[in-house]
Amino acid sequence: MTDEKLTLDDIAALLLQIEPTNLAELANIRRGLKAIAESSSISVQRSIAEAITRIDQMEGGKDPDPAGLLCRIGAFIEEAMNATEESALEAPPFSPTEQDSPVRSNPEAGCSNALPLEADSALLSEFITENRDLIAGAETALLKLEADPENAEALHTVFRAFHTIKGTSVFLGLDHISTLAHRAESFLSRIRDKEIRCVGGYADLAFRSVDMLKDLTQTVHDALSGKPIIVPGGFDDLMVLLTEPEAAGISEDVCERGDGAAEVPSLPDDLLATQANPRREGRKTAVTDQTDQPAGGVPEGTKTPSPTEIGQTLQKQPRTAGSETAAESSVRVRTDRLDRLIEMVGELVIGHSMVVQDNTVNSGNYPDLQQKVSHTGKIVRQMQDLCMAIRMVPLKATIHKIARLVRDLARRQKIMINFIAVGEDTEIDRNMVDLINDPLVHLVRNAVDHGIESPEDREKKGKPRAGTLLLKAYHSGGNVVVEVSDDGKGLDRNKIIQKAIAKGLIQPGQNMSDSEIINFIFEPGFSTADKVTDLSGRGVGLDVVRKAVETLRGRVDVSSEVGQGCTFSVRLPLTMAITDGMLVKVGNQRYILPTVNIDMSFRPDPEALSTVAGRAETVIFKGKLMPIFRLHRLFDIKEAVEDPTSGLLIIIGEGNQRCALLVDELVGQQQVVAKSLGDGIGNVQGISGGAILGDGRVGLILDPQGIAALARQTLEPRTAGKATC
Amino acid sequence: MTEDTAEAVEDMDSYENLFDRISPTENTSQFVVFRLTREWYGVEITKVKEVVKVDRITSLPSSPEHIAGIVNLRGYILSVTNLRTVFGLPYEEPTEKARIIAVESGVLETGLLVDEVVESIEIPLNKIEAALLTIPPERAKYLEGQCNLDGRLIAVVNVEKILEKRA
Repeated sequence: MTDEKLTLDDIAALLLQIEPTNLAELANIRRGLKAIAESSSISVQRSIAEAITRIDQMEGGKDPDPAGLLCRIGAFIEEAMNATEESALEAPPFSPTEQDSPVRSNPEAGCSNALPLEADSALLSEFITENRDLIAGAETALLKLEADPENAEALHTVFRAFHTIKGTSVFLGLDHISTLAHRAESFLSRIRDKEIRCVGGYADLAFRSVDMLKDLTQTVHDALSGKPIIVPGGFDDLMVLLTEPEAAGISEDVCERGDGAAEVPSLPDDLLATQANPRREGRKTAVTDQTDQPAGGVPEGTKTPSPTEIGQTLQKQPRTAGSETAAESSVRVRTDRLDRLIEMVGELVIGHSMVVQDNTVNSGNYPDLQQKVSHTGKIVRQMQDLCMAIRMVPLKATIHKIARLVRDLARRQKIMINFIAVGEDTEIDRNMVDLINDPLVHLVRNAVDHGIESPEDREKKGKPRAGTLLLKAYHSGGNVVVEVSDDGKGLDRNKIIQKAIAKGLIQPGQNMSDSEIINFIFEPGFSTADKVTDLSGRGVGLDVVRKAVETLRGRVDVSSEVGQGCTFSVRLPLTMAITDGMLVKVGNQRYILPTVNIDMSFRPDPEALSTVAGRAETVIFKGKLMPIFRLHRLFDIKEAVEDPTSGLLIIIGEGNQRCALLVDELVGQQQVVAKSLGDGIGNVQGISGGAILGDGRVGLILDPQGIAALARQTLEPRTAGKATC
Repeated sequence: MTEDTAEAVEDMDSYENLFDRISPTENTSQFVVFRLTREWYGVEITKVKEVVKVDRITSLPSSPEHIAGIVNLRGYILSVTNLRTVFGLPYEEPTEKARIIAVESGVLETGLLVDEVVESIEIPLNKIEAALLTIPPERAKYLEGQCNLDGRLIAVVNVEKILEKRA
């Protein structure tokens, strides 16, 4: 690094390491800046000049807050870098340098031209995925920032997201996105400069920018599939809002423009601001040293990746189109490839077990070979474990989305909510993540809409004004449990009973247990909300949640205390891909019966067997009568055990669906990877899927409900429904 | 082959070059020829993924008759269509020579259970004639046509139709 040829990048990096008192180094930076200014455009020069002025101030040593000053210098340098970037990329078709022109009020802003011609669809889709990640990150950080406006790191994350998006979108010629990102960035820089704080209306504005960015990204995504780009409504308004503070000129003296808040039309409630305040006070004392840090740069060798990354990525990003983010420790892999890899490893495991069982290996004549085989076996098992781990992703993203949702809902409902998330790092199969999102969102909406009361009501009841919504995720016995609990009204037993009577589900005066009553809320069309809001209360409710969870082979439980709140817990298997099963033999066929469905298995005594109406076989087990379904008869399998006393009865199903399934014998327990039956086979009643067994054969996974239904179909015409007990 | 080509050229002339064909010799397709009972059938090689030995087909309960079951194709479950059933031929247990021809079209795939895979040959497309009227229509729809090659009648299987039947 020679003194004569410092680049802005170098200076940014230097600035991060420098101590505010190191005057020699400052002078060096000053020289470097001057050199750059000579060969730059006017806009760059302006920012550099500002930076130099600040350096001079520091050199004078009069400033009481050298660290803050240093941070401001950082800001100007960054601005200069932006300006350089922009002038370098000035060409097509819009350059965000025209920041002084108000909003490009597009006459046909509603519908702009298609994607830029030169845009490469692969690049674009990469851009979209990357954007979504960045947006998600920014949103999370904004939530943090709102709760704790001094959180410099969160601010950096938001800033960086917008910055990266800006760079890439300029490169790709997506001018709406770049305009938005640019203006949002300018707005955020005011927050960074501590001129305004990210609370109340400002926070709203920041969130709106994030939302708009989401919408715009979606339009780009749609455009890829040929739809026209439709600029989301409110784009221009938002641009004005974001620019308005800008009009005062950011390079002016910062302190004079503290009253910009009035310009931002926001929801008039300052609920969140007040809510955030007590928490901020609490944090302030805890992290005093952190708040003293300059936001623009980190002093003396603090090796947090965030600011360093800024320096490094600022220049590179637009040119590489975001294809490589520096210091990225993960690689994006296409899911189909990942799935294929996992499948192949499964196949490798089976292939290896075939080698292990081979007579040559097992003969004992070749101990060396045996040793080598067992060695590869270890590797294969490790690979399998790793593959399973690859599939797992933390619930973080889902929980963050919900955090945002809660914030918005709370504002709309004019209630106060403390959202607490526990166990963000709980991992779950990546295929499950998307599927559990909807049920969780539903439960959260319910809690906000029906559960937590207004601050006034809560005060009357002697509760804290702000309600608490707790989202807790943890692993328990091979399952993932996600709990949504609120400290609101709780479920009103009497209201549910009234509703159930009104819907004709029960008779007045019927005696029922609490859990039976509570379970009514899972009935279709059952809502105890008095009013219909756009959130919930339309009767499309918890039954959807239960159904969704059940298709994931999970369970929803609810517990509630009137006036104290309500807890829904969703219990899901870790992965849909692996089923714990019992291998059963029927004739020459073998089937897998999921272990969760098995209640117990036994060989009946002859006395326990009886028939009803001459046909329907039943067995008495522990004093209970239940029908016997013969699997070999249902599936038309030959050479199976006909006599239940020499076969095995497996009790499956629950409640009045309980029945005993006759099989020949249990072969053993096995974990299998559930796969769909080949193309074109569609649904086979009684079979939920297939799996490759240890010997390479395909085994069919039984579906107990389907079997029961199948059995009824075949029995009913003959025995007039006597089969059900 | 020379005779075929000559014929092809003649055909082309008679159709007054409806399509700007580059060369008649390019209008051939490679077919995998297989046997069902004593009949010869062909399937276009571009639709064939692979040919595998018949190894322990898992039969499916209460499934249509033409579905022989499912097999494990390297960790992937492949449905198997019994072509004998599709073409109304008597059922027989698969022998040593029997093979499963994995075919695909679009996103769908299936395995065709056949008695024996014989060879792979090139057939000029214009030699494939529409299915004979004597073939019952419910069978004929699974054929694209047939061709007479050196005195041997090869029926060309319509993979798409068979995949549709299953879907």
